[in-house]
Amino acid sequence: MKKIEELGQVISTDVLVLGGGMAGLCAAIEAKEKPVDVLVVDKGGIGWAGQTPVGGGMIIHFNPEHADDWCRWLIPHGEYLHDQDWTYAVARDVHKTVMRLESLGLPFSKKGGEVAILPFEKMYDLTVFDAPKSLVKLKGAAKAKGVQFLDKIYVIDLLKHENRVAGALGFGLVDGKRYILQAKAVLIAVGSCRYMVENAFAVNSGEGPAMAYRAGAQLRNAEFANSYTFGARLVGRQFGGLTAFLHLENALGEKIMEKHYPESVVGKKPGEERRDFRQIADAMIKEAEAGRGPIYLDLRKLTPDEMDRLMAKNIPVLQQLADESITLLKEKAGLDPMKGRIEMHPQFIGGQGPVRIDLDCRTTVEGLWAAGDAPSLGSGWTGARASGGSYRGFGLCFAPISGFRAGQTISEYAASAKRFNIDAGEVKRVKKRVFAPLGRKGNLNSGDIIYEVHKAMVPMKNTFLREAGRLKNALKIIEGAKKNLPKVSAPDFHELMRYHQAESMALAAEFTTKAALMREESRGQHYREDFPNRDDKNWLKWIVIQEQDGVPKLLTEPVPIEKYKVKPD
Amino acid sequence: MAIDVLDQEICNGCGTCFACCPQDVFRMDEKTGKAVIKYPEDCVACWACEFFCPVNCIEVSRGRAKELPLPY
Repeated sequence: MKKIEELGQVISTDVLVLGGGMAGLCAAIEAKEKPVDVLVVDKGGIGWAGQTPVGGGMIIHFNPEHADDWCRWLIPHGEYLHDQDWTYAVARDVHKTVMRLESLGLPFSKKGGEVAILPFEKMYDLTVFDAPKSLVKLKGAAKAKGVQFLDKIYVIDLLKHENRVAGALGFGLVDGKRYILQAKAVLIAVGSCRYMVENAFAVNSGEGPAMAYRAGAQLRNAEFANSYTFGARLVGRQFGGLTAFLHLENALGEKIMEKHYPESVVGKKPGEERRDFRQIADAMIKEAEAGRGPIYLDLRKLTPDEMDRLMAKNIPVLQQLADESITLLKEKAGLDPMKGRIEMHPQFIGGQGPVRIDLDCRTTVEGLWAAGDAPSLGSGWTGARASGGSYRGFGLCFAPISGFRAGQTISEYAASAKRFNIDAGEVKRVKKRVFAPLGRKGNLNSGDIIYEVHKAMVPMKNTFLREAGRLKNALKIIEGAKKNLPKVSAPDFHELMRYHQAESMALAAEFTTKAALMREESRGQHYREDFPNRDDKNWLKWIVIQEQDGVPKLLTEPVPIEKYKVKPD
Repeated sequence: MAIDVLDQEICNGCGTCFACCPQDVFRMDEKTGKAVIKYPEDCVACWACEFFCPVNCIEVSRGRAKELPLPY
């Protein structure tokens, strides 16, 4: 038997953090509060990688005294599929997390020397920060504490010692060098699956949930992944104007939100309108199907006050985002929004991840933690809705909240646990799987697989307005794509990563579609035309997914609603 | 289509595009120390490289090599 040193470069650490975005960096910083070695590995360049630098830079905020009110508002909205312990934990952590990030140098908008709190919705406020520069700052804070970094290393599988996770296998994207990363505990913080669709968030391809699943971890709430926002069709991006949804109109010039969801927008004071992406996408699809599409945003019709609100005139960071949208339209699409209307369409943004974690961010596998988007749905903190695409500022807030929590518990564990030597047989087994596509003959490339997954997931009729026949059809497309994976060859290490991204996306699509088919009711973000009502009698349950004999096995588990504070009427 | 230009005259070799690209489109040329577009067909036009480039040497147009299916 070979030694593992002969199979790649062995690097040993106490805590291995996969993913150097917001969640991973917060976890690494917190972990260094204990005397442990912490290594962060990312497929991109840490400081710029992940979703945060290209996102809106918004985190929710409210006074911790309002935590109970906030939970009592959020839980009915997510229709009781929450792990309410997590919902309450987030509510208690929001304020202190913002303060902690500020103390670490995250460049928040300030007012009078303090983090500026911007009134946003009735139940919560927003804080905003300069997103592009944010992770460079956090990386600096992590480095100062002695965190180690490895850039441009792609990790797609975990290494186990008996039933526990004891490391991960990676390869250099540039030089293909093999890394055997040994650790006492591993944190998955590589995001969820955005399917490479929404341009700005195309970075996460489902690798986190996929590797957790292959290591035996449970997934939960996968059917609620995948949401839509709306974007300017020509630039394929979310439109950075907070109030743009109020002004969407059909081809006849009728305001579509007033028409379909008057209760959300009519007679509301500025700031009290409900901006629910599900409602917005639903109004868009209804108009398009009735032949009154496409949907437009016509800025020329706005009053000066409405225009100021849309462009977030008094909130510099948000104004920057709105300006950026206008500039993109002008420079990239040759369209001046002050001279012509903008065609908008529902923008698929993919979703949050289903890795199941407890309040300490532990997965169901020994030695494996998860934080950030990868377990955002799986934690159950937002119930039957993905946080991103449902509520502004929610998607990002879970990254530092879960990151700090994970950092605390993973370092406590690593400080007292022993490191297990991974045996060569395990390394060989995983290496064989990971490197199989390299240099093999095949007539397909990863792009072909990715396109098939897009065909199954992007159309709203499969992921938004669901129905058994169409879901089965989407599953056929996904299974076809998976069958074709052995025909894909990877001529180099970049292509090898693309192969694993395609495989992870197909797997994420399979989890979501199978769970959506199983859930014969409508709840939260999950809408079934053939089961349009919520069914608490049969479906106040989580769908849990776990690998069994190489395929996803779906089980149900009752939500322990009797022990929770907030109950359905 | 998507990433069009990386001006070798202007590029200062800082590596920001290489670090920030979510699709791993760039490589750093060992001889010149500057960034090169290695995998243009994988660009999804997120504009991160163009926005973050400190010397404005990158141009990305809209669209991508393989268009997406429509949402409706």
